Amino acid sequence: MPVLAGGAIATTVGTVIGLKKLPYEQIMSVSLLSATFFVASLIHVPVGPGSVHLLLGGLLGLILGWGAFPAILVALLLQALFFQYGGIVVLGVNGLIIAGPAVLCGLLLHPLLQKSPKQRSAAGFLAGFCSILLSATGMAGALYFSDHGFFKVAGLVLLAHLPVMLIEGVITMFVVNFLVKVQPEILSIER
Amino acid sequence: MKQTLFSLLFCLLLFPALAMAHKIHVFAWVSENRVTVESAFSGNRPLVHGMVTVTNAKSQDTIVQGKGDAKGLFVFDIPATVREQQADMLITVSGGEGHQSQWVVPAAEYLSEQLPETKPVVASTTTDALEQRLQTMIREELAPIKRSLAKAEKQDPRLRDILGGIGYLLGLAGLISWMRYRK
Repeated sequence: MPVLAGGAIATTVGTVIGLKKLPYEQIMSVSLLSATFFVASLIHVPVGPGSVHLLLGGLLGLILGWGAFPAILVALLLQALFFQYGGIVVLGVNGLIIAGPAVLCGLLLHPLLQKSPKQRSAAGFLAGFCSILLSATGMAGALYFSDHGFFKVAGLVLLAHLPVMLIEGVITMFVVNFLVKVQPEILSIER
Repeated sequence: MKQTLFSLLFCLLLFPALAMAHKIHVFAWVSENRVTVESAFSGNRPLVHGMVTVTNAKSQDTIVQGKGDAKGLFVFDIPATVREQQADMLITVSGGEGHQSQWVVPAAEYLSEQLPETKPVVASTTTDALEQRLQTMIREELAPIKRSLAKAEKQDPRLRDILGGIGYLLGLAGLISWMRYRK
């Protein structure tokens, strides 16, 4: 219960900040990236006994900053309503676990995008890699602290997400490089 | 330039044809005094050794607990006490990693089923016996249909749903822009 409540509060705060900071012109980007996240997280790849999926949280964080919170929350809400994935009760925790790392990585790594192509690629890769790493850690933590309480599952979650971290790092790197070439303004950087 | 971005995003949107899900599908059916619970991830991959907990929906008491087999099946007999209480049974299947699903077996579903021992073993040609045999046969014939109906109820996300979701998200942005524009 404290996990659920804490997650809900944190997600609400993040969403409010995200909406407050959201510039008018960025609404369409938020919606498009929300749709991208919505679809990316529906593609599931079986790994071991479970399955994993992309999140593209790092990409959302880099492009939207705090705006990733509302984008991710709305997409999660739709998934919960349409497919009963996650569910309304855990929406807050899920939102925090996914959007928190996305925003953190985005804000920390965004300054690197302005620099040399090498640093830009590194920033893209790290954003994808670290956002999943932190999300998986958050998920493991949430499982550990809620009624499940076993450490083994938490470790499995991290292990299962290792390939996703790499894949998502590479995808985010390519998308960032592509965006810098064709439309740097969407990343809010000067050409 | 904008087109390139849009087409890139659009390509990403076409992926869901491959979509599979993490959600666990649970369904259970009753035949005679036996309940079979089947659990699977969507995409029809069985949930191997999932933790199955059956509780009395009213009193929350645990009735049976166990692990499913490699095909995602778990079979248990309905205890006499549950039958007496005419309680609904809540089946919870947990696949670890925080995924779990539930299915309810309403009391009516198993009460209508004949107990094996009450079946008339003595073969007689009376209409009663004939009726009973007919019922058993129909039940056996219907079992797979019941199953597939239960399956159809819980469908994986389809392209239609996914496109609908994207439509919602874009529509939401349109709505916000429109409201701001009106100010």
